[in-house]
Amino acid sequence: MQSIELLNRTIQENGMNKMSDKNKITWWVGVSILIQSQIGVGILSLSNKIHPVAKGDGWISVILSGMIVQLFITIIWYLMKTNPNKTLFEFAPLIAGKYLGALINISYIFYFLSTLVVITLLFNDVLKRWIFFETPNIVISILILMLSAYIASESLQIIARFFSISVIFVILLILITIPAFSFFDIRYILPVGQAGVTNIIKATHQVNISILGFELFLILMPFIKIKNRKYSFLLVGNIFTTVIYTFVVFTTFVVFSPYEIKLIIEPILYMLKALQFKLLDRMDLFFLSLWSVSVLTTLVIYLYSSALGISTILKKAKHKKVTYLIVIMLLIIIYFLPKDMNSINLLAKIISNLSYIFTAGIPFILLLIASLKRLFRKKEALTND
Amino acid sequence: MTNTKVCFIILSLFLLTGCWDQHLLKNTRLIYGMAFDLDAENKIEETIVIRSIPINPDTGMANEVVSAVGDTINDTRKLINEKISGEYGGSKNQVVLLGSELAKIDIYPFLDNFYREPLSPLSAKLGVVQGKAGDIISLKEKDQNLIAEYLTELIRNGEEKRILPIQSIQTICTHMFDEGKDFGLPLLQFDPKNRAVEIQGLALFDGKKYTENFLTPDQSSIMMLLSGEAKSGTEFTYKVNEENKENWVYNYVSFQVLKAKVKKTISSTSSNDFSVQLGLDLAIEIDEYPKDHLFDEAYAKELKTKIKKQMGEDAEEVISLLQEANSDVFGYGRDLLAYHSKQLQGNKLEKGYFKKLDIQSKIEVTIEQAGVIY
Repeated sequence: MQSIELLNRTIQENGMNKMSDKNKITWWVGVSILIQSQIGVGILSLSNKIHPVAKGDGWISVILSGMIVQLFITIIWYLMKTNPNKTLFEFAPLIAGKYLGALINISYIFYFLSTLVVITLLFNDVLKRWIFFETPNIVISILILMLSAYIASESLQIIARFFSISVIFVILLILITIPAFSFFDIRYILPVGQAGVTNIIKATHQVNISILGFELFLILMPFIKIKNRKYSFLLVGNIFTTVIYTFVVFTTFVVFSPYEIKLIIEPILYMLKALQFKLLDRMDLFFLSLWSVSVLTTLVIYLYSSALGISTILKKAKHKKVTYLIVIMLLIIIYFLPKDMNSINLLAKIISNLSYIFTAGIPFILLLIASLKRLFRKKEALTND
Repeated sequence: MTNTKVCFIILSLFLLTGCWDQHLLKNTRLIYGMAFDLDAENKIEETIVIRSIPINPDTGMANEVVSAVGDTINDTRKLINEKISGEYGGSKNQVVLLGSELAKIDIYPFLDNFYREPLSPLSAKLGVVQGKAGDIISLKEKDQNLIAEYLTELIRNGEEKRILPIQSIQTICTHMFDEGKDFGLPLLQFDPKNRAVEIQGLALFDGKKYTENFLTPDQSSIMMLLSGEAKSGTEFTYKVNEENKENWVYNYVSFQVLKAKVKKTISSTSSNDFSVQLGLDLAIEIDEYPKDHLFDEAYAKELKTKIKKQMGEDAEEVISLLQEANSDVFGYGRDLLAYHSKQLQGNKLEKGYFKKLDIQSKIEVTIEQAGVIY
């Protein structure tokens, strides 16, 4: 018990500099962080991935998945309530004990880092196939990761400010797809319920792994102003993301015929490519530029969280140097990883299957331990009396 | 600013000078139109037209036509690249013509490359040519117009006049893979004697194959009214009288559709048997009717019934032509899948379902306007 208190104190002292950072973020900025960390690479190929399973009912899977994610978010919300002023990296040792806590922290950092690798690889893959056929992968990786490091090395307040402005890009991203409705045929998704309940539920897996990002609030929650720290911002943010994803899936489902959608890897881009206006052509390129901002924000927030984790473990007050070191390490890893279609997909599959442990499994177990501990402490207090 | 920062900026300038993915206009030969044909040995012959700028600026723009024979589209591209002075640039292509012999087999293999390459223009127009498509491209110019521009304008004009459905390479793809809807492509005809190209009608497709049946422009207009694609602007000229032998123009009436409303009800008679009740309400405007007398109500009514009768006959002919070709341009298969899937055997469309459909059409006509005179 004493050792935990001691550890607690040292962490608090070490985190003193960061404490000034904490409690600074407002409600709306919290919403935009959630949106920006959820919307990322997955949005492009989501329709293609869920159609083989859920057929025309894929859009129902997206809504269902939004509800499942909300459940996960609720677990995280209650867990964060047990230690309102600490990040996961700070409270994990308190709840699970020193060694297990350290293990949890390290595995989370590994999870964040591997997510970063996967996102960068997928981003590279899309750009390589759509615009930059000749540009070496590593150049695109350097550009996007260095840019992320530049933002992520700042305090969360500055990052958050960037995020709240860049929500405009997400809205533009949706506005750009509206003209595609000129070729729409609602009959492609009828009759509703054609795939059957089991297939609709099965397809939620693909959606779940595309709207990851909420688990970062295990780390970011203490930075939000206490009086603004309401459940509503997590709800609003998640609903916003779910609505956008549903819109994207629905649009592509009614524009492309069922068999066609199985062939096209990025239906939303493909749909825009075919549009032609008087002055504008190749709308997919506009979409890709806006989408890059969404990918960038996802990378930034994962990078920031992992840098924060490493600096907490190393007991460093500032995370700037750590951020750049992480990026250099990631670039080296990315350089040596195989980059063909199958291995990227395999890696993405492994990481996304593991994600359930980190988004729901560990938070749930921690919450269970924390509440049991509290229960025992109450009993102890009663018996002592 | 510290020295390291300055150094970093200067050094990074070296990295920013180049780009891997530059497509310089001066190195590319922009292709404006292409045609695919089947040659005698069952190989693909591709004919392309490139716009070139001659050295003497007074002569204006000119065209260069190149063709090559190969096994696949990419194979012919490679051969073409050996014949032209610069890189093959397909990104500005406006029109793709397919020879009828080739369209009869399956058109997807010839378009696959367009769908696969991110740089290819999916909004280009497609057409089927009765005979050899390369001959039209080889015209180079058609009365002062460059051939690719001429062809796109020809097709676009047909779309505006509601003779042809509005389509591009991309919209075709959606229907090619749709078991419940077929499509038609503009059918062009080339008259080598007069060097003339004209729209012969709409070539009907069954799945990915050209059925060798086609609708004439008038029939195609009626088809688009029946399918609900054309809602206004379609023009017709009908012969409504036989009386006037000397002044034969008096026998005709020209009108255009102001509003078209389609009502369809699909009912299933027994499992896998369906009937379609197709109602079409037209509000028309008389554009040309030398005989006048429209102020006479009884006379106007008579004219109306005559138009109605002829249109009904035409519609029935169109429907029987479509059923003969098994080309479901109306997309009734989609309707069956979407709203009547329970009555379908195994929730799937059977082959040739369109031929089996019992389609009853009923046309109502009202004369809404007659210009500024009766």
